[in-house]
Amino acid sequence: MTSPVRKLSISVPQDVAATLAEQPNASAYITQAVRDRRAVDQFRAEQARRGVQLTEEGMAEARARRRRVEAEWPAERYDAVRERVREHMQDDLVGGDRPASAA
Amino acid sequence: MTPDEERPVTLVLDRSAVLAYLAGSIHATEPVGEVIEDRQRFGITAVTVAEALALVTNPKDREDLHVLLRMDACAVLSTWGEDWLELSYWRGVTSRADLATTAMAALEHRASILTREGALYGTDGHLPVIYMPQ
Repeated sequence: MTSPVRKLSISVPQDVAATLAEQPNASAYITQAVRDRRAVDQFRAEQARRGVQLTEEGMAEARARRRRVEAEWPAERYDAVRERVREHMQDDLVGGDRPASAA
Repeated sequence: MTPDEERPVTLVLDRSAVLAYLAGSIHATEPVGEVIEDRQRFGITAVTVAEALALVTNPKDREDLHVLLRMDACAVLSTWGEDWLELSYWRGVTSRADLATTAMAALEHRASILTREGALYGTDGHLPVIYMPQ
């Protein structure tokens, strides 16, 4: 379902206008950028309300930890684990044994 | 699918991560924040939400959980009926249904699990787990 839209007339600097001119759908580009920014603002405002102090260093460390896991887990590894689990459980249904470890 | 829903879920919070977030742990909050800043989403399974709400009695914490779940970047994740066989496997590994749904969601979305209970997900390297310090 498409949500209702409003037509706006806005003024932007030349460099932003040039970027928008390169987009196949400038409205979609702006919409996503606003939503991305809103999600960050929403999160930071909530942490400020709760009194949780975020640091750029801590965020960077968290990002590095996640990236390390992502590097160790390419898409194929996820798929392989799921497939092994399914095979293991199918065998278990046929054999009637309790599962040990498939992943 | 809305554009927000097209953003990938790259981090799944389990019950321990949700409770740590509500307690104000920086080790739970910053990983969520960096995912949002990377224009991605974090997920919590519906079963995990139910488990967390069963444990959280403080009205402020319950409100904080509701606010977290309402964030644009939060995806409350379903566990599908047809996946019962896989679910029962992970229930066997983790000994808990909420952890089983978290493991399945992580595999489905190719995401990492944020947890303080990493040992419950099986041996090291068994699943894509990010351990939070105590």
